[in-house]
Amino acid sequence: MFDRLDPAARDVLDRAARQARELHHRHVGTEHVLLGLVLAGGPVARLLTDRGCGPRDVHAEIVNRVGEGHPQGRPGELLAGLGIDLAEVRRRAEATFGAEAVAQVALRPRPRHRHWPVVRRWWPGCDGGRPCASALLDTEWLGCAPRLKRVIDAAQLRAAPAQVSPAGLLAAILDEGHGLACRILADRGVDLPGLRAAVRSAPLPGGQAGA
Amino acid sequence: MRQLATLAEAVDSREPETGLAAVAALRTLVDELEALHVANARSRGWTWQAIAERLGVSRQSVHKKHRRGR
Repeated sequence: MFDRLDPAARDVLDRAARQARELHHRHVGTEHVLLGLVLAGGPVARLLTDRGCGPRDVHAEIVNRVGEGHPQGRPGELLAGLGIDLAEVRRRAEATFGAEAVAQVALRPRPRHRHWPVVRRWWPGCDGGRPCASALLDTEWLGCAPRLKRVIDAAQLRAAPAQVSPAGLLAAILDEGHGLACRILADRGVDLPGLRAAVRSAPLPGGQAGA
Repeated sequence: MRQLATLAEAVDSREPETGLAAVAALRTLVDELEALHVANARSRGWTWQAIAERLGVSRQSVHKKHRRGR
């Protein structure tokens, strides 16, 4: 799902996921990717910043609309409250089956929502490549909203056989047109067709501006 | 972060938020331990039927949950 992204686009999604975690959101949506695009810098960020969508503006809009989630605490802390020593459980599991087997099991995809794709370990926002949801490994879950998956798939289809650039991500978000990112842009007075044309025509590195 | 600091004390209080999250974490833990033990049993040649009996579920459901690949 995320295999045809260029390094810059991976960086954008990485930032998006990190922002989602910091806001204690349980998923990454187009709004986080918009924030990631602005934060990543470069020509695409400049296009957005020039239209009055700086990092602070986008962040404030997201907090306004979605709010901040609740810090849930890591599984280890929660289980400690139930009287379970997670470190000991893990130590015994690893002693019995080996650390490799434990990591294997923890990496199995387990979506919370039936139709939500699971963010696997190569999702750029995972902590240093660790899986996103494992009680044994004490990591939290982070999903990818269905709309964002569609947007990324569309961007990859359009860019094929090349890789998706940040411009391609933005173009796909604009083309899809119904995400929170688009609503944020529209409400900030951005001319969406104009921005789309600018993304297409801008001399962006990596070519494949998403035309 | 400051909320995280107080979380440990909040867990065994009657706060539903943390209580439910703790139960969800426990369920994930049980799932992972189950997967470990089922994989171990399979690698030792246990049948799905035998595994299902020990887990107290049907053969079909344990196979659906733990079979490799799709």
